[in-house]
Amino acid sequence: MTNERQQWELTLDARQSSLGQVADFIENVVDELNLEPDAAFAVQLATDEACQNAVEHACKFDSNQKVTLVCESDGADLVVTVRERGEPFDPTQEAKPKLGAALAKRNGGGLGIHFMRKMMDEVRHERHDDGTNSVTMIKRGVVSAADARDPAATEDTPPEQNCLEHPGCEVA
Amino acid sequence: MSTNPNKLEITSTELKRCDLVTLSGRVDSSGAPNVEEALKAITDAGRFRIVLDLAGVDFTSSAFLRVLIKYHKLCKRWNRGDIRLASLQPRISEVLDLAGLAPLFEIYDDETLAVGSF
Repeated sequence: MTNERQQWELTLDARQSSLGQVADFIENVVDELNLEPDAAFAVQLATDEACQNAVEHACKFDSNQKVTLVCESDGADLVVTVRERGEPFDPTQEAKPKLGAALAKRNGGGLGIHFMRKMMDEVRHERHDDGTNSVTMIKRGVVSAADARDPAATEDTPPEQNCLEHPGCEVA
Repeated sequence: MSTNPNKLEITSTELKRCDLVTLSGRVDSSGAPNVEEALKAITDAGRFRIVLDLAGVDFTSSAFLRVLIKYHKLCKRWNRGDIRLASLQPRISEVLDLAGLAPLFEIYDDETLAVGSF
């Protein structure tokens, strides 16, 4: 397992068309970290959702506002943070998606947060004294698990984590 | 066919029984508006039987699912049609399950079966 700390950062305008940059950015990060496919997908999905929320709900598609996306690895966990200066978000007030409801009662609301919570091990929303908001999402052990897939790794490396087997990934 | 820089390709074909919309690539937050545009073109033309072929889709997010829900409702209004899904890759199927949407759609193993179901 490597203890190398790595960081990647992307700043984008708060407009819908900017979100395409997020996909390429995250793809690069998960490739560099050599994440196993399920973990890579989970991180990509959660990050897409968090950035969409930042652009749409926090910044209201105001292209004069900026959204900053930072990914950090300590050699074991991957931490993804999305920060902006838009409207504060209270996760306790967020409507939950009506997962078992009939089509007439579904509009897709709440699915973004739902996916973030299912895909990542920890999701934390914060309002900071400098007027910024952030959402921090952590995927634990995925970088070390990536090392475990390396043929050069030792027999004692931890087993791969599959987000779909992780308790947090069960369908509610 | 429409293409956007975010690796999403959309092809719409009007068939006798329905419209076939083939998506390929990532249908993420930036690509979902392009999918909506394609579906809107069909429904604005008065056609409401649509097959979405997702064989080439390897990523999707809630933005696409919101478009899917919106147009599925629109098509099903007055029983005039609906949207049927074909060829879901396993991860896309799992995302649909996670969103509780799988029971709301007819899902087929391939587009031929989906088209033939209309």
